[in-house]
Amino acid sequence: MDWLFKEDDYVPVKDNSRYLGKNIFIFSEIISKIINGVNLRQSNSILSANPLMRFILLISTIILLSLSTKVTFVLLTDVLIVFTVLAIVKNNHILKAAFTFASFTLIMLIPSILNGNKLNAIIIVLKVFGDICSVSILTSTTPWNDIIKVLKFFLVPDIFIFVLENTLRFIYLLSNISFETLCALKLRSIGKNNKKYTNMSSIIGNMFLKSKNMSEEMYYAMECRGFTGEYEIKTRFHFSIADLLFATLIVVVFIFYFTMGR
Amino acid sequence: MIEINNITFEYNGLKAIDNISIKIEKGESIAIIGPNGSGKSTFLKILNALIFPSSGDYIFNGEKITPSSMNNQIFSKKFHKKIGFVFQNSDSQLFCSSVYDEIAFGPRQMGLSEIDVKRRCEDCLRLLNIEDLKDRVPFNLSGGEKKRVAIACVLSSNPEVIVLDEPMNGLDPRTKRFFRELLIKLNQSGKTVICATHDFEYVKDVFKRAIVFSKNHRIIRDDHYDKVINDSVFLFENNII
Repeated sequence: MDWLFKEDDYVPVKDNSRYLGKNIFIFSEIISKIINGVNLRQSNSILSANPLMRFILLISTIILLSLSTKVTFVLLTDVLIVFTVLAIVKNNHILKAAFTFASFTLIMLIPSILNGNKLNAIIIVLKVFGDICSVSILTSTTPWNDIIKVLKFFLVPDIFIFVLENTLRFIYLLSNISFETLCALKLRSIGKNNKKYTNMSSIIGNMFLKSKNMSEEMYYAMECRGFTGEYEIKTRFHFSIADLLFATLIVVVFIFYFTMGR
Repeated sequence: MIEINNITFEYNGLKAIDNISIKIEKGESIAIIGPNGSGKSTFLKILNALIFPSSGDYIFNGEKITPSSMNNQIFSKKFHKKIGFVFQNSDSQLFCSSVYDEIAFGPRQMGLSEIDVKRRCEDCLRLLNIEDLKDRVPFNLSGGEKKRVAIACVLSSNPEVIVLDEPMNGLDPRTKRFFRELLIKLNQSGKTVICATHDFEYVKDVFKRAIVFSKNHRIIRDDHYDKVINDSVFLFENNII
Protein backbone atom coordinates (compact mmCIF):
# COMPACT_ATOMS: atom_id res chain seq x y z
CA MET A 1 0.00 0.00 0.00
CA ASP A 2 3.07 2.26 0.22
CA TRP A 3 2.52 3.50 -3.37
CA LEU A 4 -0.66 5.30 -2.23
CA PHE A 5 1.18 7.36 0.34
CA LYS A 6 3.87 8.76 -1.94
CA GLU A 7 3.67 10.78 -5.13
CA ASP A 8 4.15 9.00 -8.45
CA ASP A 9 7.00 10.23 -10.59
CA TYR A 10 4.91 10.01 -13.71
CA VAL A 11 5.35 11.64 -17.12
CA PRO A 12 2.53 10.77 -19.54
CA VAL A 13 3.32 9.60 -23.04
CA LYS A 14 1.60 11.07 -26.05
CA ASP A 15 -1.64 9.39 -27.05
CA ASN A 16 -4.38 10.64 -29.29
CA SER A 17 -7.59 10.99 -27.28
CA ARG A 18 -9.24 13.81 -29.20
CA TYR A 19 -12.10 11.46 -30.11
CA LEU A 20 -13.24 11.78 -26.49
CA GLY A 21 -13.45 15.57 -26.67
CA LYS A 22 -15.36 15.36 -29.96
CA ASN A 23 -17.87 12.82 -28.60
CA ILE A 24 -18.35 14.82 -25.39
CA PHE A 25 -19.05 17.90 -27.52
CA ILE A 26 -21.65 16.01 -29.60
CA PHE A 27 -23.54 14.82 -26.52
CA SER A 28 -23.39 18.23 -24.83
CA GLU A 29 -24.85 19.70 -28.06
CA ILE A 30 -27.77 17.22 -27.99
CA ILE A 31 -28.45 17.89 -24.31
CA SER A 32 -28.30 21.67 -24.67
CA LYS A 33 -30.56 21.59 -27.74
CA ILE A 34 -33.23 19.68 -25.84
CA ILE A 35 -32.88 21.90 -22.75
CA ASN A 36 -32.98 25.04 -24.90
CA GLY A 37 -36.11 23.72 -26.59
CA VAL A 38 -37.81 23.23 -23.23
CA ASN A 39 -36.77 26.73 -22.11
CA LEU A 40 -38.05 28.34 -25.32
CA ARG A 41 -41.56 28.93 -24.02
CA GLN A 42 -40.28 31.09 -21.18
CA SER A 43 -37.91 33.10 -23.37
CA ASN A 44 -40.31 34.90 -25.72
CA SER A 45 -43.98 35.78 -25.38
CA ILE A 46 -44.57 35.15 -29.10
CA LEU A 47 -43.15 31.66 -28.70
CA SER A 48 -45.61 30.87 -25.93
CA ALA A 49 -48.25 30.81 -28.64
CA ASN A 50 -50.11 27.72 -29.67
CA PRO A 51 -47.65 25.41 -31.51
CA LEU A 52 -50.55 24.19 -33.61
CA MET A 53 -50.70 27.56 -35.40
CA ARG A 54 -46.99 27.36 -36.21
CA PHE A 55 -47.45 23.82 -37.44
CA ILE A 56 -50.38 24.82 -39.72
CA LEU A 57 -48.35 27.77 -41.01
CA LEU A 58 -45.48 25.42 -41.81
CA ILE A 59 -47.63 22.83 -43.59
CA SER A 60 -49.61 25.40 -45.57
CA THR A 61 -46.43 27.28 -46.57
CA ILE A 62 -44.72 24.11 -47.77
CA ILE A 63 -47.79 22.88 -49.70
CA LEU A 64 -48.54 26.26 -51.32
CA LEU A 65 -44.88 26.85 -52.17
CA SER A 66 -44.66 23.49 -53.87
CA LEU A 67 -47.95 23.99 -55.73
CA SER A 68 -47.12 27.43 -57.05
CA THR A 69 -45.30 28.05 -60.32
CA LYS A 70 -45.28 31.85 -60.05
CA VAL A 71 -42.03 33.54 -59.06
CA THR A 72 -43.87 36.56 -57.55
CA PHE A 73 -45.74 34.40 -55.05
CA VAL A 74 -42.64 32.38 -54.10
CA LEU A 75 -40.56 35.56 -53.72
CA LEU A 76 -43.21 37.37 -51.62
CA THR A 77 -43.69 34.32 -49.37
CA ASP A 78 -39.91 34.10 -48.88
CA VAL A 79 -39.78 37.80 -47.93
CA LEU A 80 -42.62 37.24 -45.46
CA ILE A 81 -40.80 34.25 -43.98
CA VAL A 82 -37.54 36.22 -43.66
CA PHE A 83 -39.36 39.01 -41.78
CA THR A 84 -40.94 36.40 -39.50
CA VAL A 85 -37.52 34.89 -38.79
CA LEU A 86 -36.04 38.29 -38.03
CA ALA A 87 -38.98 39.15 -35.76
CA ILE A 88 -39.07 36.03 -33.60
CA VAL A 89 -35.62 34.45 -33.60
CA LYS A 90 -32.67 36.30 -32.06
CA ASN A 91 -29.78 34.64 -33.89
CA ASN A 92 -29.60 34.28 -37.65
CA HIS A 93 -28.62 30.59 -37.84
CA ILE A 94 -31.94 29.87 -39.60
CA LEU A 95 -31.14 32.27 -42.45
CA LYS A 96 -27.56 30.97 -42.64
CA ALA A 97 -28.76 27.36 -42.94
CA ALA A 98 -31.39 28.31 -45.53
CA PHE A 99 -28.82 30.25 -47.59
CA THR A 100 -26.45 27.27 -47.47
CA PHE A 101 -29.08 24.80 -48.69
CA ALA A 102 -30.33 27.25 -51.34
CA SER A 103 -26.74 27.76 -52.57
CA PHE A 104 -26.22 23.99 -52.90
CA THR A 105 -29.47 23.73 -54.84
CA LEU A 106 -28.32 26.56 -57.12
CA ILE A 107 -25.03 24.76 -57.77
CA MET A 108 -26.89 21.55 -58.63
CA LEU A 109 -29.13 23.47 -61.02
CA ILE A 110 -26.28 25.13 -62.95
CA PRO A 111 -26.56 22.66 -65.89
CA SER A 112 -30.30 23.38 -66.09
CA ILE A 113 -29.64 27.16 -66.02
CA LEU A 114 -27.06 26.78 -68.80
CA ASN A 115 -29.73 24.98 -70.83
CA GLY A 116 -31.99 28.00 -70.55
CA ASN A 117 -34.31 27.05 -67.64
CA LYS A 118 -33.37 30.17 -65.69
CA LEU A 119 -36.80 31.02 -64.24
CA ASN A 120 -37.56 27.47 -63.13
CA ALA A 121 -34.16 27.24 -61.47
CA ILE A 122 -34.74 30.50 -59.59
CA ILE A 123 -38.17 29.30 -58.45
CA ILE A 124 -36.74 26.01 -57.17
CA VAL A 125 -33.95 27.79 -55.27
CA LEU A 126 -36.46 30.21 -53.71
CA LYS A 127 -38.75 27.32 -52.79
CA VAL A 128 -35.90 25.48 -51.07
CA PHE A 129 -35.00 28.65 -49.18
CA GLY A 130 -38.62 29.17 -48.05
CA ASP A 131 -39.12 25.54 -47.03
CA ILE A 132 -35.90 25.36 -45.01
CA CYS A 133 -36.75 28.64 -43.25
CA SER A 134 -40.29 27.47 -42.46
CA VAL A 135 -39.14 24.15 -41.00
CA SER A 136 -36.40 25.89 -39.02
CA ILE A 137 -38.87 28.41 -37.59
CA LEU A 138 -40.93 25.55 -36.21
CA THR A 139 -38.02 23.48 -34.88
CA SER A 140 -36.16 26.38 -33.31
CA THR A 141 -39.18 28.05 -31.73
CA THR A 142 -41.16 25.04 -30.57
CA PRO A 143 -40.09 22.48 -27.98
CA TRP A 144 -40.01 18.95 -29.42
CA ASN A 145 -42.67 17.65 -27.04
CA ASP A 146 -45.06 20.40 -28.22
CA ILE A 147 -44.42 19.46 -31.85
CA ILE A 148 -45.21 15.84 -30.99
CA LYS A 149 -48.43 16.85 -29.21
CA VAL A 150 -49.55 18.78 -32.29
CA LEU A 151 -49.74 15.40 -34.06
CA LYS A 152 -52.88 14.71 -32.02
CA PHE A 153 -54.66 17.37 -34.08
CA PHE A 154 -53.91 15.27 -37.15
CA LEU A 155 -55.54 12.21 -35.53
CA VAL A 156 -52.27 10.39 -34.86
CA PRO A 157 -53.02 7.70 -32.18
CA ASP A 158 -52.22 8.72 -28.58
CA ILE A 159 -50.05 5.65 -27.98
CA PHE A 160 -47.87 6.63 -30.96
CA ILE A 161 -47.48 10.16 -29.55
CA PHE A 162 -46.66 8.64 -26.16
CA VAL A 163 -43.93 6.46 -27.72
CA LEU A 164 -42.47 9.47 -29.55
CA GLU A 165 -42.48 11.55 -26.35
CA ASN A 166 -40.70 8.82 -24.43
CA THR A 167 -38.19 8.32 -27.21
CA LEU A 168 -37.28 11.98 -26.88
CA ARG A 169 -37.10 11.69 -23.08
CA PHE A 170 -34.80 8.67 -23.34
CA ILE A 171 -32.58 10.41 -25.90
CA TYR A 172 -32.11 13.17 -23.33
CA LEU A 173 -31.56 10.84 -20.36
CA LEU A 174 -29.20 8.50 -22.21
CA SER A 175 -27.30 11.42 -23.74
CA ASN A 176 -26.79 12.76 -20.24
CA ILE A 177 -25.45 9.41 -19.03
CA SER A 178 -23.24 9.03 -22.14
CA PHE A 179 -21.93 12.55 -21.60
CA GLU A 180 -21.01 11.79 -17.98
CA THR A 181 -19.47 8.42 -18.86
CA LEU A 182 -17.31 9.97 -21.59
CA CYS A 183 -16.25 12.70 -19.15
CA ALA A 184 -15.26 9.96 -16.68
CA LEU A 185 -13.32 8.16 -19.41
CA LYS A 186 -11.58 11.43 -20.29
CA LEU A 187 -10.66 12.10 -16.65
CA ARG A 188 -9.30 8.59 -16.26
CA SER A 189 -7.39 8.65 -19.56
CA ILE A 190 -4.11 9.60 -17.96
CA GLY A 191 -1.73 7.77 -20.25
CA LYS A 192 -1.61 5.58 -23.31
CA ASN A 193 -4.85 3.73 -23.91
CA ASN A 194 -4.33 0.72 -26.17
CA LYS A 195 -7.96 -0.36 -25.87
CA LYS A 196 -9.84 2.68 -27.15
CA TYR A 197 -12.27 0.62 -29.24
CA THR A 198 -12.86 -1.83 -26.38
CA ASN A 199 -13.67 1.06 -24.03
CA MET A 200 -16.07 2.66 -26.48
CA SER A 201 -17.83 -0.65 -27.15
CA SER A 202 -18.08 -1.26 -23.38
CA ILE A 203 -19.71 2.14 -22.98
CA ILE A 204 -22.18 1.37 -25.78
CA GLY A 205 -22.94 -2.04 -24.21
CA ASN A 206 -23.46 -0.45 -20.81
CA MET A 207 -25.76 2.14 -22.33
CA PHE A 208 -27.83 -0.60 -23.92
CA LEU A 209 -28.18 -2.41 -20.58
CA LYS A 210 -29.00 0.85 -18.79
CA SER A 211 -31.66 1.77 -21.34
CA LYS A 212 -33.22 -1.68 -20.96
CA ASN A 213 -33.27 -1.32 -17.16
CA MET A 214 -34.62 2.22 -17.33
CA SER A 215 -37.43 1.24 -19.68
CA GLU A 216 -38.29 -1.78 -17.51
CA GLU A 217 -38.42 0.43 -14.41
CA MET A 218 -40.59 2.93 -16.23
CA TYR A 219 -42.96 0.18 -17.30
CA TYR A 220 -43.23 -1.08 -13.70
CA ALA A 221 -43.84 2.48 -12.46
CA MET A 222 -46.60 2.90 -15.06
CA GLU A 223 -48.20 -0.38 -14.04
CA CYS A 224 -48.10 0.71 -10.40
CA ARG A 225 -49.93 3.88 -11.41
CA GLY A 226 -52.66 1.92 -13.11
CA PHE A 227 -51.49 1.82 -16.74
CA THR A 228 -53.52 -0.70 -18.70
CA GLY A 229 -52.19 -0.13 -22.21
CA GLU A 230 -54.50 2.77 -23.03
CA TYR A 231 -52.86 6.18 -23.00
CA GLU A 232 -54.86 9.33 -23.44
CA ILE A 233 -53.14 12.63 -24.17
CA LYS A 234 -54.96 15.83 -23.32
CA THR A 235 -53.75 18.82 -25.26
CA ARG A 236 -54.44 22.19 -23.75
CA PHE A 237 -53.83 24.63 -26.56
CA HIS A 238 -55.46 28.01 -25.96
CA PHE A 239 -55.83 30.80 -28.48
CA SER A 240 -53.84 33.91 -27.50
CA ILE A 241 -52.87 37.24 -29.07
CA ALA A 242 -49.59 35.69 -30.24
CA ASP A 243 -51.65 33.05 -32.06
CA LEU A 244 -53.40 35.84 -33.92
CA LEU A 245 -50.05 36.81 -35.48
CA PHE A 246 -49.52 33.29 -36.83
CA ALA A 247 -53.18 33.03 -37.95
CA THR A 248 -52.74 36.31 -39.85
CA LEU A 249 -49.61 34.95 -41.51
CA ILE A 250 -51.51 31.83 -42.60
CA VAL A 251 -54.28 33.98 -44.08
CA VAL A 252 -51.75 36.25 -45.82
CA VAL A 253 -49.95 33.26 -47.37
CA PHE A 254 -53.28 31.90 -48.68
CA ILE A 255 -54.28 35.36 -50.06
CA PHE A 256 -50.88 35.59 -51.80
CA TYR A 257 -51.41 32.15 -53.29
CA PHE A 258 -54.95 32.69 -54.58
CA THR A 259 -54.20 36.18 -55.97
CA MET A 260 -50.81 35.63 -57.57
CA GLY A 261 -49.60 32.09 -56.92
CA ARG A 262 -51.76 30.05 -59.27
CA MET B 1 -1.75 24.05 -4.83
CA ILE B 2 -5.13 25.25 -6.14
CA GLU B 3 -5.87 28.90 -6.68
CA ILE B 4 -9.22 30.15 -7.88
CA ASN B 5 -9.29 33.85 -8.66
CA ASN B 6 -12.62 35.63 -9.21
CA ILE B 7 -14.16 32.93 -11.33
CA THR B 8 -17.65 33.19 -12.74
CA PHE B 9 -19.39 30.49 -14.72
CA GLU B 10 -22.39 31.29 -16.88
CA TYR B 11 -24.57 28.94 -18.86
CA ASN B 12 -27.18 30.33 -21.26
CA GLY B 13 -26.95 33.69 -19.50
CA LEU B 14 -27.55 32.16 -16.06
CA LYS B 15 -24.81 32.33 -13.43
CA ALA B 16 -23.95 28.98 -11.88
CA ILE B 17 -20.94 30.45 -10.05
CA ASP B 18 -20.59 34.12 -9.30
CA ASN B 19 -17.17 35.65 -8.71
CA ILE B 20 -15.56 33.26 -6.25
CA SER B 21 -11.97 33.11 -5.05
CA ILE B 22 -10.41 30.25 -3.07
CA LYS B 23 -6.94 29.02 -2.19
CA ILE B 24 -6.46 25.36 -1.34
CA GLU B 25 -3.18 24.09 0.09
CA LYS B 26 -1.78 20.60 -0.29
CA GLY B 27 -3.10 18.11 2.28
CA GLU B 28 -6.22 20.08 3.21
CA SER B 29 -9.58 18.41 3.72
CA ILE B 30 -12.41 20.65 2.64
CA ALA B 31 -16.16 20.25 2.69
CA ILE B 32 -18.12 22.13 0.05
CA ILE B 33 -21.49 22.93 1.52
CA GLY B 34 -24.56 24.65 0.10
CA PRO B 35 -28.21 24.21 -0.84
CA ASN B 36 -29.25 22.47 -4.04
CA GLY B 37 -28.39 24.49 -7.15
CA SER B 38 -25.86 26.69 -5.35
CA GLY B 39 -23.04 25.74 -7.75
CA LYS B 40 -21.19 23.05 -5.77
CA SER B 41 -21.15 20.49 -8.59
CA THR B 42 -20.25 23.17 -11.14
CA PHE B 43 -17.34 24.19 -8.94
CA LEU B 44 -16.12 20.59 -8.74
CA LYS B 45 -16.39 20.27 -12.52
CA ILE B 46 -14.28 23.41 -12.92
CA LEU B 47 -11.69 21.96 -10.51
CA ASN B 48 -11.49 18.89 -12.76
CA ALA B 49 -11.32 21.01 -15.92
CA LEU B 50 -14.47 19.41 -17.31
CA ILE B 51 -15.80 22.92 -17.84
CA PHE B 52 -14.00 26.23 -17.86
CA PRO B 53 -14.98 29.49 -16.13
CA SER B 54 -16.51 32.30 -18.21
CA SER B 55 -14.15 34.70 -16.43
CA GLY B 56 -11.40 34.49 -13.79
CA ASP B 57 -8.40 32.21 -13.37
CA TYR B 58 -7.93 28.65 -12.21
CA ILE B 59 -4.34 27.86 -11.28
CA PHE B 60 -3.24 24.32 -10.39
CA ASN B 61 0.32 23.78 -9.12
CA GLY B 62 1.31 27.17 -10.54
CA GLU B 63 -0.09 26.46 -14.00
CA LYS B 64 -3.12 28.14 -15.45
CA ILE B 65 -5.86 25.71 -16.46
CA THR B 66 -7.50 26.93 -19.66
CA PRO B 67 -9.16 25.25 -22.67
CA SER B 68 -5.97 25.77 -24.68
CA SER B 69 -3.68 24.35 -21.98
CA MET B 70 -6.00 21.32 -21.70
CA ASN B 71 -5.77 20.85 -25.48
CA ASN B 72 -2.17 19.87 -24.90
CA GLN B 73 -2.59 16.10 -24.48
CA ILE B 74 0.49 15.60 -22.27
CA PHE B 75 -0.46 18.48 -19.97
CA SER B 76 -4.07 17.33 -19.81
CA LYS B 77 -3.13 13.74 -18.90
CA LYS B 78 -0.65 14.94 -16.28
CA PHE B 79 -3.33 17.18 -14.78
CA HIS B 80 -5.95 14.42 -14.71
CA LYS B 81 -3.41 12.08 -13.11
CA LYS B 82 -2.99 14.54 -10.24
CA ILE B 83 -6.67 15.16 -9.59
CA GLY B 84 -9.19 12.35 -9.27
CA PHE B 85 -12.94 12.86 -9.42
CA VAL B 86 -15.57 10.60 -7.88
CA PHE B 87 -18.86 11.35 -9.65
CA GLN B 88 -22.14 11.68 -7.77
CA ASN B 89 -23.61 8.98 -9.98
CA SER B 90 -21.19 6.03 -9.89
CA ASP B 91 -23.03 4.43 -12.80
CA SER B 92 -21.56 7.05 -15.13
CA GLN B 93 -18.05 6.35 -13.96
CA LEU B 94 -17.88 2.62 -14.57
CA PHE B 95 -17.53 1.32 -18.10
CA CYS B 96 -15.21 -1.71 -18.06
CA SER B 97 -16.27 -5.34 -18.20
CA SER B 98 -15.07 -6.34 -14.72
CA VAL B 99 -14.31 -4.62 -11.42
CA TYR B 100 -10.64 -5.64 -11.70
CA ASP B 101 -10.32 -4.13 -15.21
CA GLU B 102 -12.06 -1.01 -13.95
CA ILE B 103 -9.49 -0.54 -11.18
CA ALA B 104 -6.59 -1.51 -13.47
CA PHE B 105 -7.65 1.04 -16.13
CA GLY B 106 -5.57 3.93 -14.72
CA PRO B 107 -2.40 2.02 -13.72
CA ARG B 108 -2.31 0.20 -17.09
CA GLN B 109 -2.42 3.53 -18.92
CA MET B 110 0.45 4.76 -16.79
CA GLY B 111 2.56 2.03 -18.36
CA LEU B 112 3.15 0.16 -15.08
CA SER B 113 4.20 -3.48 -15.31
CA GLU B 114 1.37 -6.01 -14.93
CA ILE B 115 2.86 -7.01 -11.52
CA ASP B 116 2.61 -3.41 -10.28
CA VAL B 117 -0.88 -3.09 -11.77
CA LYS B 118 -1.94 -6.25 -9.91
CA ARG B 119 -0.41 -4.98 -6.66
CA ARG B 120 -2.26 -1.66 -6.96
CA CYS B 121 -5.54 -3.36 -7.81
CA GLU B 122 -5.30 -5.82 -4.95
CA ASP B 123 -4.40 -3.03 -2.50
CA CYS B 124 -7.39 -0.98 -3.65
CA LEU B 125 -9.73 -3.98 -3.53
CA ARG B 126 -8.56 -4.66 0.04
CA LEU B 127 -8.74 -0.99 1.09
CA LEU B 128 -12.29 -0.65 -0.19
CA ASN B 129 -13.24 -4.10 1.10
CA ILE B 130 -14.43 -5.33 -2.30
CA GLU B 131 -12.08 -8.26 -2.90
CA ASP B 132 -15.00 -10.60 -3.54
CA LEU B 133 -16.31 -8.32 -6.31
CA LYS B 134 -13.08 -8.56 -8.32
CA ASP B 135 -14.54 -10.55 -11.22
CA ARG B 136 -18.07 -9.13 -11.14
CA VAL B 137 -19.54 -6.89 -13.85
CA PRO B 138 -19.77 -3.33 -12.42
CA PHE B 139 -23.18 -2.84 -14.00
CA ASN B 140 -24.83 -5.43 -11.73
CA LEU B 141 -23.46 -4.16 -8.41
CA SER B 142 -25.49 -2.44 -5.70
CA GLY B 143 -25.27 1.36 -5.21
CA GLY B 144 -22.82 1.09 -2.29
CA GLU B 145 -20.64 -1.44 -4.12
CA LYS B 146 -20.55 0.74 -7.24
CA LYS B 147 -19.46 3.70 -5.11
CA ARG B 148 -16.65 1.63 -3.57
CA VAL B 149 -15.51 0.50 -7.03
CA ALA B 150 -15.65 4.10 -8.32
CA ILE B 151 -13.43 5.27 -5.45
CA ALA B 152 -11.05 2.33 -5.96
CA CYS B 153 -10.75 3.30 -9.65
CA VAL B 154 -9.74 6.82 -8.72
CA LEU B 155 -7.33 5.72 -5.97
CA SER B 156 -5.52 3.20 -8.19
CA SER B 157 -4.15 6.12 -10.24
CA ASN B 158 -2.81 7.61 -6.97
CA PRO B 159 -3.99 11.21 -7.46
CA GLU B 160 -2.73 14.01 -5.21
CA VAL B 161 -6.17 15.59 -4.96
CA ILE B 162 -9.38 13.61 -4.55
CA VAL B 163 -12.60 15.41 -5.42
CA LEU B 164 -15.86 13.76 -4.40
CA ASP B 165 -19.36 14.88 -5.36
CA GLU B 166 -21.86 13.86 -2.66
CA PRO B 167 -20.14 10.50 -1.98
CA MET B 168 -22.58 9.49 0.79
CA ASN B 169 -25.72 9.87 -1.34
CA GLY B 170 -27.97 6.82 -1.19
CA LEU B 171 -25.59 4.68 0.87
CA ASP B 172 -26.49 2.64 3.94
CA PRO B 173 -25.15 3.78 7.36
CA ARG B 174 -22.42 1.13 7.53
CA THR B 175 -21.03 2.13 4.11
CA LYS B 176 -21.19 5.78 5.14
CA ARG B 177 -19.18 5.03 8.27
CA PHE B 178 -16.71 3.08 6.14
CA PHE B 179 -16.26 6.04 3.77
CA ARG B 180 -15.79 8.41 6.70
CA GLU B 181 -12.88 6.28 7.97
CA LEU B 182 -11.49 6.02 4.44
CA LEU B 183 -11.55 9.79 3.86
CA ILE B 184 -9.77 10.37 7.18
CA LYS B 185 -7.16 7.75 6.25
CA LEU B 186 -6.60 9.27 2.80
CA ASN B 187 -6.24 12.77 4.18
CA GLN B 188 -3.81 11.56 6.85
CA SER B 189 -1.72 9.98 4.10
CA GLY B 190 -1.26 13.43 2.55
CA LYS B 191 -4.02 13.51 -0.04
CA THR B 192 -5.97 16.71 -0.51
CA VAL B 193 -9.65 15.88 -0.10
CA ILE B 194 -12.36 18.15 -1.52
CA CYS B 195 -15.87 16.91 -1.02
CA ALA B 196 -19.34 18.29 -1.69
CA THR B 197 -21.65 16.94 0.98
CA HIS B 198 -25.00 17.26 2.69
CA ASP B 199 -24.48 14.35 5.03
CA PHE B 200 -23.01 16.05 8.09
CA GLU B 201 -23.86 13.25 10.47
CA TYR B 202 -21.40 10.85 8.89
CA VAL B 203 -18.47 13.15 8.15
CA LYS B 204 -17.50 14.15 11.67
CA ASP B 205 -13.75 14.79 12.02
CA VAL B 206 -13.16 14.28 8.28
CA PHE B 207 -12.89 17.93 7.28
CA LYS B 208 -10.85 20.81 8.71
CA ARG B 209 -12.33 23.51 6.52
CA ALA B 210 -15.78 24.28 5.13
CA ILE B 211 -16.59 26.45 2.14
CA VAL B 212 -20.24 27.45 2.04
CA PHE B 213 -22.02 28.37 -1.20
CA SER B 214 -25.18 30.45 -1.10
CA LYS B 215 -28.22 30.11 -3.32
CA ASN B 216 -26.83 33.19 -5.13
CA HIS B 217 -23.89 31.01 -6.29
CA ARG B 218 -21.37 32.88 -4.16
CA ILE B 219 -19.14 31.84 -1.30
CA ILE B 220 -20.68 33.18 1.89
CA ARG B 221 -18.37 31.55 4.38
CA ASP B 222 -14.93 29.96 4.40
CA ASP B 223 -14.12 28.82 7.91
CA HIS B 224 -13.14 25.94 10.20
CA TYR B 225 -15.49 23.03 9.54
CA ASP B 226 -16.47 22.61 13.20
CA LYS B 227 -17.28 26.32 13.59
CA VAL B 228 -19.52 26.27 10.52
CA ILE B 229 -21.25 23.03 11.42
CA ASN B 230 -21.97 24.19 14.97
CA ASP B 231 -23.47 27.47 13.77
CA SER B 232 -26.97 26.09 13.37
CA VAL B 233 -28.56 29.54 12.91
CA PHE B 234 -26.28 30.24 9.93
CA LEU B 235 -26.91 26.79 8.44
CA PHE B 236 -30.68 27.09 8.89
CA GLU B 237 -30.80 30.60 7.39
CA ASN B 238 -28.93 29.37 4.34
CA ASN B 239 -31.09 26.29 3.78
CA ILE B 240 -28.33 23.84 4.64
CA ILE B 241 -30.03 22.09 7.57
